[in-house]
Amino acid sequence: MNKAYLFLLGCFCLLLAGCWDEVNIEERGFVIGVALDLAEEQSGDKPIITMTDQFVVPSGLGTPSEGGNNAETPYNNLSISGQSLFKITREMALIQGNPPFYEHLKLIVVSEELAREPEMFANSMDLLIRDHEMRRETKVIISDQKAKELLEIESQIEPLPAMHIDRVNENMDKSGALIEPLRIGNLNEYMLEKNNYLIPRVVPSDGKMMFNGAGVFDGKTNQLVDVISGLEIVAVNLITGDLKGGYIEFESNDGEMVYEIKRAKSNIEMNIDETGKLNIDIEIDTEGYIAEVFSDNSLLSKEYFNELDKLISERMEKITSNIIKKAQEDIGMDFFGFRKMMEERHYKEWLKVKDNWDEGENIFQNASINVTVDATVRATGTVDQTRD
Amino acid sequence: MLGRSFYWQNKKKNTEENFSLEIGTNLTENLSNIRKMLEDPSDLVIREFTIGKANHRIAIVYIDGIVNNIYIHDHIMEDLKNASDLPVDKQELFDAVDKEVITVTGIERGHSLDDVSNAILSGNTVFYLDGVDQVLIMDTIGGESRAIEEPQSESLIRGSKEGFVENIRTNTMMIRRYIADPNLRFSTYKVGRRSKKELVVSYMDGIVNPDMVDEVKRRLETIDIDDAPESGYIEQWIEDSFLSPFPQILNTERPDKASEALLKGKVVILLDRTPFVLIAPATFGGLLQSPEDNYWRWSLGTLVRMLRYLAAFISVFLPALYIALVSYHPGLIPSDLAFSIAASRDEVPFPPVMEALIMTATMELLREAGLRLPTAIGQTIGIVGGLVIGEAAVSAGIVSPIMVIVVALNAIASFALPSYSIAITFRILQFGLMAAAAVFGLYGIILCYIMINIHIVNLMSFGVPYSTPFAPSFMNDWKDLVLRAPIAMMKRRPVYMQTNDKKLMNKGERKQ
Repeated sequence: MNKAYLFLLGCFCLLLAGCWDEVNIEERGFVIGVALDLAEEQSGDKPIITMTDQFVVPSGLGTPSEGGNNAETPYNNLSISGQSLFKITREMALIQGNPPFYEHLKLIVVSEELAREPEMFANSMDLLIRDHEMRRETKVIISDQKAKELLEIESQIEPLPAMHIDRVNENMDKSGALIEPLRIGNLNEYMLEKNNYLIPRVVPSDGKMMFNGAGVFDGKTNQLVDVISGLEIVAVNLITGDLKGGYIEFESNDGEMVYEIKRAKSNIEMNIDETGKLNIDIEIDTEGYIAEVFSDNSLLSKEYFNELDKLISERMEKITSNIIKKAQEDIGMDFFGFRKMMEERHYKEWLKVKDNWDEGENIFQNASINVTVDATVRATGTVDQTRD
Repeated sequence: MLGRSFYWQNKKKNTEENFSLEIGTNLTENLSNIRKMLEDPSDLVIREFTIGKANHRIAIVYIDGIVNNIYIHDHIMEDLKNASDLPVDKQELFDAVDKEVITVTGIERGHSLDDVSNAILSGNTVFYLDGVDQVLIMDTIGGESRAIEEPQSESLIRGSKEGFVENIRTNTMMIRRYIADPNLRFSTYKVGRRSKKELVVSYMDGIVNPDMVDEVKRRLETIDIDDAPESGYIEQWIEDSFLSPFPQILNTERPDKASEALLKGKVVILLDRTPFVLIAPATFGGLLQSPEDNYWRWSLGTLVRMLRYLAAFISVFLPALYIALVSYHPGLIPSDLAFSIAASRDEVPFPPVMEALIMTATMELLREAGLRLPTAIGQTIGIVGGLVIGEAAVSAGIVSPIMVIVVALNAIASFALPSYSIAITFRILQFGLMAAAAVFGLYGIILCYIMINIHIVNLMSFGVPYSTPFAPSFMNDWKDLVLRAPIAMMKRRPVYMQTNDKKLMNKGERKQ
């Protein structure tokens, strides 16, 4: 009998917990995009941030069978300013019936204006990395203009602006001008290891948005230092071997041609000689097709192919040398991840040089970096010439 | 208990009516005794006539309808009438009738009224001779019975179309046809204080573990009930744990399944008047197996087995997972689906757990209603319930379309299980899991899952762990568990059955 009472008591204890933490799915305010800007009005010594949350309005999206209710916009942007992002998210619960829920957060947009301020970027990322609702998969981009404007750019295909940008961010296999999307988990890693990093950059124009280049961030102060262009990103991707697809335009004897890169591989050798000078040898190996030809010559000749190979290699060597030169001389920072490679491959040497990489003795800036490219044209496309 | 008769229980009443329990030498008195005992029912046939030169009075007594009339005519009446050169002495005549005249195969002697009443009530015919205080009991059991049909609850695409019937003789015959082995044993019991049904325990001597048979018999001997109308009574009486939701004894309508079980060293229990025979012991893995797995080639068998484990998972966990994910963990749903669920749930006034309870209750109602109705109307109920109620409930905003998918999938998965008894178990467990999911979310589901697992590993069926061969683990038996290895690779009988004869096949050399 006592056992039965104990059992019942146990059951009641369980029931007393009573649906703890239960929030039904339709009562959640799904935030899929967050934009961070410097507030227009600043007061006091601490900077004020405007946080814009993009909430999904599910009824605007509609169920698949209903095909969506076009009268309603499927999202709702809410901007609040303040010093603490956490405070802002709780203030949103005072305004919105469905309090913000970040587990489906896809995209964080930071304005360049904010990113240029020292420490501001790292401070504002803290909540987005620390909070238990945040996912490590969330992608981070920077915006040329106000970040909140980017969350208002609609697209016909994808009704949610944040999702739209998120999708475009994945198109690495079609364009070499995109870097591997930066996930907030990786960002955390870079910030902890004080390695410099690149963040994809978006430029809004005429109600459209476009990925254009990337921002170079200093791993120590976590601020935006410089911006590199799309072509330069192709070069960076070639050097790091991350290129998933892309193209190179080059001049041949028969006029301009486009070479589509299908496969790229890079082999990086580094060593520090007795004088303490860093030598980096980069071998890049690519394969691809002739994608477009602005002439009427047939391409079917082995000599011609070899000549094309040479031309493409030269062109690639040029753009990669340019970006290395820019990194060493203009920006003065290693954003290729050479420091990380050094740590992984030559740990003992790295211990000696880790604090003098791009500061102090400036080992990176004084390094001699050699690039050799071996580009191969696999085919001319499906035809050798399209006109005669 | 088996020996005691209902008659002794009613001794007081009967002595008041004043008839003797012994068989006397006076035929008229004997016949009046049997009439009085049964209160002269209309189906009691008493045929009196005389035989022999001395015109000895004899009587044939049987109950019409449960005997084979033609057989009585050909082998008793004709023989008695055509008999000649019969002895004059009554006792000698009686022995001669027993030994020489009557050509019925099953014949024995009875000495009391109890023997007579038991015999005629189960379809035997009794022969009385005036002046002899003994009777002959002749096996003339017959009467109308159902023909062998395809088993309704376990029909297969490939495999025998024979199913067990209500007549236990037919059933034992069917097993004998599958296994023509001298070691096939049938031990007979009588069950039911009043009904006195025949119960047969069948096993393969030399294969089966003798301890298993002893245990089955020991439990069967404890049965003390008025009547066991169906083998379900036997199952519930001898199972290990009546509190467990899991069936610890398998039931089947298929002779091929029963004979396969016999050859694996299991014990089969047949009861008269039911087509469902029991197979003991049962294991969790065995409940998800169908004989057809072995009839098709191994690749299909393996695929179907894995599919069944998926079906088992769906039928237990799906509604609970829906509740947990929608109420507690929307972060685990892919974004687009989460928004779509949120949109479809926008107009639903109930929390997910209520929604799920409404739909599963509706589903159970439909299932129950469909069972009771004739097949033609049953199908209509299915269509009306499935389509109209589902569709209307969604349009009316009582449930969300996703919930309809969840419930439908859940129901289909539970129908896909080969054994109805395990499907019922899963349906019951599903409600517990739904409650746990409603209170604790995924955490509750995992707690429940752990509790179920603890229960399963604790459960025994006739000394065999219910969870075997998963745990305790016998790698040899894994060949016939989630995967179904090619026939030639399954060389041993199940190790977990601890059989006497372990080998299922020799090396496959050509026989001399």
